[in-house]
Amino acid sequence: MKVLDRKLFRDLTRLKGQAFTIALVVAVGVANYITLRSAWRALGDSRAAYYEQYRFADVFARLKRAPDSVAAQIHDVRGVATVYPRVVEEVLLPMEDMITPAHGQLISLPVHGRPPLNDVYVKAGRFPESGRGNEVLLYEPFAKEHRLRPGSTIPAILNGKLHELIVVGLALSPEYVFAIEPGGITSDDERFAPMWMSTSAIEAAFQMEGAFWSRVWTSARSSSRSTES
Amino acid sequence: MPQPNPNSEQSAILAAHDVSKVYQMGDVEVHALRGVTVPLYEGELMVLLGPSGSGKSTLLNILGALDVPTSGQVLYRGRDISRAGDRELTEFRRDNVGFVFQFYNLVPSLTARENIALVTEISKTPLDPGEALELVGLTDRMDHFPAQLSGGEQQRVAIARAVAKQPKILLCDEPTGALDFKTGIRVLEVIDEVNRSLGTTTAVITHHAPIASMADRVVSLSDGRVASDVTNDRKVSPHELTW
Ligand SMILES: Nc1ncnc2c1ncn2[C@@H]1O[C@H](COP(=O)(O)OP(=O)(O)OP(=O)(O)O)[C@@H](O)[C@H]1O
Ligand SMILES: [Mg+2]
Repeated sequence: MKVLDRKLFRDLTRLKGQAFTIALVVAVGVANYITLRSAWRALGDSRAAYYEQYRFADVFARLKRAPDSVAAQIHDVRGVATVYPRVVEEVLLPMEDMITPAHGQLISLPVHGRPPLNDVYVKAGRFPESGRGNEVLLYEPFAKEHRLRPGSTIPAILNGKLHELIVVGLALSPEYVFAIEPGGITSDDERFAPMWMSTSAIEAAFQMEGAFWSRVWTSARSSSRSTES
Repeated sequence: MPQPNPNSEQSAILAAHDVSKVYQMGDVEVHALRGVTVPLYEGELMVLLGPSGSGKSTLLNILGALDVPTSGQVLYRGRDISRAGDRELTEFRRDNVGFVFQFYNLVPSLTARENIALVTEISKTPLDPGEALELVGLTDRMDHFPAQLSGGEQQRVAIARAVAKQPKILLCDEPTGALDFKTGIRVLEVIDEVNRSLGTTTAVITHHAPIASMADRVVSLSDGRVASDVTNDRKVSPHELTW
């Protein structure tokens, strides 16, 4: 339809101001969309990389108590590549700068080496040493809120007794990208502090014997990141 | 109720038969046509007269399939098109009917020639746009845009556009309504010329009774009815007209 095309062309030429403006608005919209989309992709990619690098678990299960042998049984389940049982204890932190105590979560670290799953990223300081009872890695956002540094101490009530925990490092974890205390609905970095402590120290403080885990988080990771887990 | 003459029915190319049109305006019914029977004979030039509101435009629109009657039939070569579907009516209009209105409805961003090409590009047996413009005496204004043409010239382009597809029927609703006397005469001359040289069956609506003398036949409407239907003994050429 040649003549209609010509009409369209002429009408557009006559409205070139408006046409240009509209084209510009559309172009800006498209550009914004592409930029945001790439940013979103990049964020997604880096999240995936972060989870990968720190071996973030696919499956979590929380138990009150279970014998050691259960870990082996879980490991036998088809598709499970790694099982990592840990001890997680809720503790109260009567901080000097707060009227009501903050909530801490003590997470066990293996006796040797790094956690096989849900590793932590140490931003400052070092890992706790196995023999030293009161050393912890502290969740960095909480440390910032309370101006704590490696070398600082925090009061904590473990198994009914007040302890003085020594912060030896500040850490981040893929498990606590957005830390919410159990039962909470929003993230409150001032009131909630995940802390990592060596297994032996936790066991000593809570007088646990090796045969049972108490309040355990079991995490498992599938061999292929598939639906099987 | 007027009955169609069976003999004249023979040569009627298009005919309204007992056509009524009622417009529903809320609670009020407007009877625009009340049982109108008007044939349009092959090759004739018919003038449709009548006071404002008598139903002239309504009748012409129904004859040209731009509108459908509330009751009655519209016969094109004996076939009833009053109940045809949208698609069929569109085809009927495109192939057989040329329209000219009081306001020219030209596309402002296209030249005279292009306005005509708009139609010839989609018709089966079109005239060349140049030929159509020659017929209305505007060969030298071919590449002018509507805004560069006078009212009378624009109306002549509109007529050239209506006849370029070589329709069987040309329907004109007050083609001189917006023009002065001299320009109006020029436009009527063009319509007369199309009717004579191409043999296009033509119906022209007008307010001006004197124009009736250029017609083969004059139909008068009054209050939605046919008041008179007269065949002229002598037809005068438009340039002899005065009003
Ligand atoms: N779309 C419509 N809706 C409602 N009423 C209408 C409509 N079209 C026309 N009418 C009415 O139908 C009657 C006939 O109108 P029509 O346009 O056919 O008159 P006309 O003879 O062409 O008049 P004019 O000479 O003023 O153009 C009028 O009373 C008019 O108000
Ligand atoms: Mg009218």
